[in-house]
Amino acid sequence: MNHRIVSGVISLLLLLFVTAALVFAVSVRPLWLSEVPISTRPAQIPHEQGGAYASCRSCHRKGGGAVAPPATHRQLQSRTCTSCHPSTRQGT
Amino acid sequence: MKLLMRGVFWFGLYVFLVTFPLVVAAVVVPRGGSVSFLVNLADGLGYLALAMMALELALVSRMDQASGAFGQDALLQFHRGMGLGAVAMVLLHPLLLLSSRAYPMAVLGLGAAVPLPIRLGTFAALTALLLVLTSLLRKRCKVSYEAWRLLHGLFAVGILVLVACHVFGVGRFQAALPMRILGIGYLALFIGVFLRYRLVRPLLLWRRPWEVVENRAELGGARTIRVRPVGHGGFAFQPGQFAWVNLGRTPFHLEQHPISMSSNGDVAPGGDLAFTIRALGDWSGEAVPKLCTGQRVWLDGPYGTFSMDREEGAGYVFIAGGVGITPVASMLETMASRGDSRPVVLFYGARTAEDLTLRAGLEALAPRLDLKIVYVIEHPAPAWTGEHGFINTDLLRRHLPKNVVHFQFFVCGPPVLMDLMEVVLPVLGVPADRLHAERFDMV
Repeated sequence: MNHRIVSGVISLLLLLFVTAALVFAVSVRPLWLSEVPISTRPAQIPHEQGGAYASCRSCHRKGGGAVAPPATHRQLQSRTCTSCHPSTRQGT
Repeated sequence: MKLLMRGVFWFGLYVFLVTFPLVVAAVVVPRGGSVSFLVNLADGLGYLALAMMALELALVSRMDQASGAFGQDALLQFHRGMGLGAVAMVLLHPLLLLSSRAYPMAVLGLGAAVPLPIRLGTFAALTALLLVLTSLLRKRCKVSYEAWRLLHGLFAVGILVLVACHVFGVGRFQAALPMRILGIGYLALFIGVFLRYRLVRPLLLWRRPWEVVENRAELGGARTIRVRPVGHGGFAFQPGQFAWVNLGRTPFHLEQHPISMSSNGDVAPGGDLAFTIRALGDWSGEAVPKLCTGQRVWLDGPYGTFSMDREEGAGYVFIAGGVGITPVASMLETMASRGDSRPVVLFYGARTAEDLTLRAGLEALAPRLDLKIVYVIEHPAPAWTGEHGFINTDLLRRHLPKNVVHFQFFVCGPPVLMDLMEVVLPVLGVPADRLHAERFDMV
């Protein structure tokens, strides 16, 4: 098959796939960057992290009383929480 | 028409398989999904890349139905292009996530504080980058094809495993059962293709050995190897097609090379096949000349769409450079044995007259065909009276017949010749669907 034709097909197909990803991103949750609320940043931890709060999972789970973590966090250990979620208090 | 339909089917199936995860993800948006356009775009590109990578092996796993529709060299070019595209998407994925401000830069770290599934994703992106670099720089770094092929396969499997762990560990859409089932399905597809390619196919070939019956020297540092099937009927092929030649002790040996048959395609069951191989590297320059009569070899074929049997025409124009003459020799010998009286013009370029591999055989065929041979010598001896220089527009104009628009054109040779002909022939009025090319430097 003609090499140039194949190159053209590859370029078109990649363009199609990127377009599909854009359509997907818009159709799933149509909020553009300028409209993204600040809450899309990792939430801040409003309490101390030691003592009774040492284990995030003891409260942050289904039926735990506090906000349950999203599906993407279901396998994460408590010690990794603070790598993204900063604390508002210099707790112990 | 049947071939066209087959091509449309396989192309459509590829597009469907790559985009299907996006469709399912859009339908089963899980609770807790992101509201950010950039995060969702990153996820979309990630899923596309995963599907494309899972299908990469299928493109080059010698599936007869697909390679018969497009040609193995076109599929390999497609494999390269889509692989580069997939890696670009893999690299865009974390960049988009970071630019969405939903994740801090620290998640790209490889320390224990970063969740394992995210670290595996970072490892996958780095491995994908390594895979591309080793492929692009293989020839420049003089890495042997066999070593690179082994490394390429290991990298590819490693990337898929890492990406699968990453997606199943932190993919927000993987929370939905249909997406989990789909992910497992794509991995199963990859494993199935891998087992068929690396286990089932070699096992089948093991029952069909061939033995060398002749190994003779040709002009231009080439050798013609004639082989005969042992205990089976061998295979017939369309003139111009190729087979993967494996000189190892078993068909599982990794070193295999795609070589065009140079003999008559209309071979009787149990008949011999011939391959003409020019010394271009370790395998062709050292292993092939040492082949002895009676030695076992393994052939996987036939493959390829570069054949006059697939393209009806009032006549044929063959343009060959160097060892690219071998599929053309097969087509001419087959035409002669069939008593085909259609006009044929052969342009055959070589560095010197001593590099015109198979010249004697071609000239022996001329009286049995309506064949005009135009040799084009790059560095001719003083006594040379034929064409010299390179095959170009002026030279083609001088020798092509007037009704050339009804002819089929076949080009095979080094990349520089192929690239030039793909530009020059359309200028001379050759329609794109009558121009057929095969690149033999595909590995």
